[in-house]
Amino acid sequence: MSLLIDRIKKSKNSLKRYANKGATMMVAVVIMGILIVFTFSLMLVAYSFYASQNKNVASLRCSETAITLSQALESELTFDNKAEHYPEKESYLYKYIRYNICQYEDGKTGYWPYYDPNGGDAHDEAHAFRYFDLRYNSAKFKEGSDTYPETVDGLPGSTKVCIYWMPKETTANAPLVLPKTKAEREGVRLFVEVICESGSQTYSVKTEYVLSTGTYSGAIYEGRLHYIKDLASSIKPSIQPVNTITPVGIDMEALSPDESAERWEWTMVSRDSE
Amino acid sequence: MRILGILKNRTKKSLNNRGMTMVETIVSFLVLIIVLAGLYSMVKFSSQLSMRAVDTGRLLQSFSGTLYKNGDKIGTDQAGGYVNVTAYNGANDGSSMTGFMLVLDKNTTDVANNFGSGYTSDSSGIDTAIRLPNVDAKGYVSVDPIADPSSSSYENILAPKVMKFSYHFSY
Repeated sequence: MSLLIDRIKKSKNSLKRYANKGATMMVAVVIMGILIVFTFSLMLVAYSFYASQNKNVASLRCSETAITLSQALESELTFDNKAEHYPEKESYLYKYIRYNICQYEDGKTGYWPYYDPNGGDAHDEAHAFRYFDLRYNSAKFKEGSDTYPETVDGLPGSTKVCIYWMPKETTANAPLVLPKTKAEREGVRLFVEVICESGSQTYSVKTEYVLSTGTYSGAIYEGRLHYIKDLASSIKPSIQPVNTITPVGIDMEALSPDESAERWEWTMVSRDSE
Repeated sequence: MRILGILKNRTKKSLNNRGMTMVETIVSFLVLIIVLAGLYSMVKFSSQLSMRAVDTGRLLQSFSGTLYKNGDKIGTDQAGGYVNVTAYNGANDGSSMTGFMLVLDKNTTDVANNFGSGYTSDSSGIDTAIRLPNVDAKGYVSVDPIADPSSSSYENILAPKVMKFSYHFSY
C-alpha cells in the first residue's frame, strides 16, 4: 500500500515538474513570437513606405513624359490650323495619318482598317491598333558636342504610342462603314494614346481628335499641287517607304487634283489620362 | 528506510535535473542570442529602409518644387538646385538627324493582321519610322549628393528623373 502511495507521489512530482517546464517554454516561445512578429511588421511597414516613395518617383517620371509627349503630338497633328498649307510644312505624323487612314482600293488588301468593337475580326484591336516605340537618335545627340550623353536622361523605360481611327457613327450601335467620300470622312475620329512604363508604373494619356474636311484653293492649292508633283521623290521616302506607309500603294504623284485639294484639319476633342 | 529511499531518489533526480537545466540554459542562451541578433539586424535594416524612404520623399518634393517653380525656364546652363538639365533638340536638319521618332513596334502590333502579307521593311531596315523633327525634349535629373553614386554622401537613393517634351515650329 505504502509503495503505491510512494509511486503516486512520485508521479505527481514528476508531473508537476514537467508541467512547469512546459509552461516556461511556452512563455519563452510566445515572447519570441511576439518579437518576431513585431520585427516583421516593422520591416513590412518600412518596405511599404519605401516602395510607395519609389512608386511616386516612377509615377512622376511616367506622367510628365506621357502628358508632354501627348501635347507635342497634338501640335504635330493640329498645326495645320495655324500654318500655311504647304506639304513641306506638314509634320510626318500628319502625313502618315493623312495618307493611311480612310484609304481603300478594290482588290487590294493591307490598308489600315478602322476600329469597330462590334465590327468583327477584321476591325478588332489586332487589326486596327498600331503601336509605335518612341526612339531617339543617339547619333544626333552625340554629334558636335561631347557633353551629350549616349542615353537620353529621364526617358522612362518604355514609351509607346498606340494609334487607331474610327469612322463617325451614323446610327447608334450600327456597324461602322468605311468612309469613301469627302462628306463621309468628315467627323472621322482619331485616337492617339501615349503609354509610359517605368518600373511597375504605367501611365497613359489618350487623346481623341475629330476630322473636319475642307478645300484648298488659290495659291495654297497650286503650291500643294506643285510640291506634290515636283518634289514627290524627295518626300516619298519619308512617308511611304515601299508599301509600309501607304499599304494600298497610293502614289502621291498620282493623287488626283481633288485629293490634293482636300484639306484635313484635326481638332482635339478630349484628353484622358489614367 | 522508506524515507531514506525517497530522499535518495529525489537527490538523484535533482542532480539530473540540474545537469539538464545547465545544458538547456546554454542552448537557450545561444538560441536567444542568434534570434536576437537576427531580429536586431532586421530592425536595423527596417530603420535604414524607412530613412531611405523619408529621404526619397524629401528629394522628390525638392525635385518637383524646382521643376514646377522654374518650369521650362530651367536651361542646361541654369539648372536650379540639384537638378541637372540636358536639352535634346529634335530639329529637322537632315533625314537621319531627327532627334526622336516613332518606330513601329512589331512586338505589340500584329503586323500580319495590320499590314497584310506583303509587309516589308524599308531599305534602311526601319519598319515604318515616323520622324518627329519638331519635337524637342529636356531631361531633368536630380544630382543631389544623396542620390549621386560618385558623392561621398551617397545613400543609395533613387534619383528622380523626368523627361519633358515640347513642340517647336517657326512659321
